[in-house]
Amino acid sequence: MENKPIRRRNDGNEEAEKRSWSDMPTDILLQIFAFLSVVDRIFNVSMVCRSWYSACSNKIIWNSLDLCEIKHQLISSQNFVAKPQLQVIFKLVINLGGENLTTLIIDPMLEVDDEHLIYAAERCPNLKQLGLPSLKGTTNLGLRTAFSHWTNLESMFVSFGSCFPYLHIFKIIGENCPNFTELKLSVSCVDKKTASAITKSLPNLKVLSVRSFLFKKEAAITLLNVLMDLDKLYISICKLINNNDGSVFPPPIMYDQRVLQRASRLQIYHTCFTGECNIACPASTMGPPLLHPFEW
Amino acid sequence: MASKGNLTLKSCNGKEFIVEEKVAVMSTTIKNMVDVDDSFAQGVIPIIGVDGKILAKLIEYCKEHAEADEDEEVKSEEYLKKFDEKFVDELNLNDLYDLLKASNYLEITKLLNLLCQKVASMIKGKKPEEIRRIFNIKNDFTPEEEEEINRQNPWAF
Repeated sequence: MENKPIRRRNDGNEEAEKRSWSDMPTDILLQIFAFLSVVDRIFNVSMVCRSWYSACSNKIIWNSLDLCEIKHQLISSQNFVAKPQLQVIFKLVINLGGENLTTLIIDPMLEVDDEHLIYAAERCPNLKQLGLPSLKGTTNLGLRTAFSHWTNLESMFVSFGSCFPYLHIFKIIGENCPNFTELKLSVSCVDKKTASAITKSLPNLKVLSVRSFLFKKEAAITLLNVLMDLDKLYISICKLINNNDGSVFPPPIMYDQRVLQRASRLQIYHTCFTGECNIACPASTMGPPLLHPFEW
Repeated sequence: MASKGNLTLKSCNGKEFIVEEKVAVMSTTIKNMVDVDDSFAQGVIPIIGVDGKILAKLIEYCKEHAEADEDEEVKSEEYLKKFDEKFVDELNLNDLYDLLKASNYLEITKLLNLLCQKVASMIKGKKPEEIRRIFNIKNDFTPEEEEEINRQNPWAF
C-alpha cells in the first residue's frame, strides 16, 4: 500500500521491507483485539507499543468483563491468582468499558460486596447481563442502589447460600429492570415461597434456569401457572437415593402429570439429575462456583 | 471495456482485472460505487492504494465465496472453511498487513474477520517482547511510561 515495495516483488524471491504493525490503523487493531481475551489485552497487547496501548484503551473493545474466565486463564497460565489481582482487573475493566460494558460476570473469589456493585453500577449503567456468584457481602440497600442504575438489565445469574435471605433481590430487579427476562438461579431449594417471590416480582420472565437440590412440585406449578411469557424452563436437581437399598430414583417433579401438562406449552422444558446429562442441558453444566455461569 | 455482467478493477500500479460483478460486489465499497454511479459499471474502477498482487489475492478470495453463495452444493461450508484456512496460512506477514488494510478499505467483511482472527491467533498467549518480534514493532515507550504501565499492572500488587 503506501509502503514502497522494492523491485522484483512478484517474482517470489522478494525482500520487501517489513511492515511495522505499530502503524496498523486503530480501527483494524480494534477488530483484531476484539478476538483476544481480557488477559491477553491487559497483560500483553497493551504493553507492546504506544499505538497498541492506545487502541487497547478504546472503550469499544471493553463490552464484557468475565472474572470467572479471567481467573481460569490466569490459573492456567500463571499457576496463581489472588483476590487483589482480581480486584485490580475488576476496577481497571470497569473504568475502561464504562457505559460500553454490557456483560459483567463476577467470580466468587472477588467476594463481591456493596462497594463493588455500586462502583460497577455507577460506571457501567448499560449492563444487560450480570453474573453474581454470591450475595453474601451485600446488603439490601447496596443492591437497591446498584440496581437503580441497571435499568437495562435483561439477564442475571445468581447463586444463593442456603441461609441467605435472598427473596428480596427479585423485588429489587422487578422494580428497576423492565426488560428483565432471563433468570438463572442456583439455590438449595425452590419451594412455593421462592416461586411466588419470582412470579410476583418478575412476571415477564421468558427463560428460567434453576439448579437446586430440591424443587417442589407446587413451586413448578406456581411458576408455570403465572409466568405466561415463559418459553424455556430448565431444571437441574439432585437425584434421590433410597437409604435402604442405595437405589436411585428420579425426583417427583420429573414425572408429575400436573407439572408435565402445564409445561407442555413451553418451547423448551428440560429437567435432569445433576451431572447426568451434559450436552442438551444448560442447567447441568453449570456447577457453581467453579464452572461458568453463562455457559448453560 | 468489460462485457456485461463484468467489471474492470484497476490496481494502484496499473494492473487491470476483469471480474464478474457478483465477485466484485462482495466488496461493499465497490457495490456502493456501482450502485451510485452507473459509469463505474461501464468503465474501469480504480482501487486506490491496493497493488496488483494484493488485488489478485482479494479477487481469489471473493471468487470462491461468491460462487459458494450462489451454489452451496458445489462449494459446501466445509469446503469454504478449508479454503479459508489455506488462504490465510499461505500469507506472509506483509501480505497479511496489506490485505487487512485493503479488505478494511474495500469493506469485505468476511475476509476482514478471517484475517483479524488469524492475527489474533498469532498474538494469543504471547508476551509483549515476542509480539514485538513477530510483528516488527519497536518498543516506543519511554522508560518512565514503561514504569508507569508496569505499576498499573495488576501483577504489581
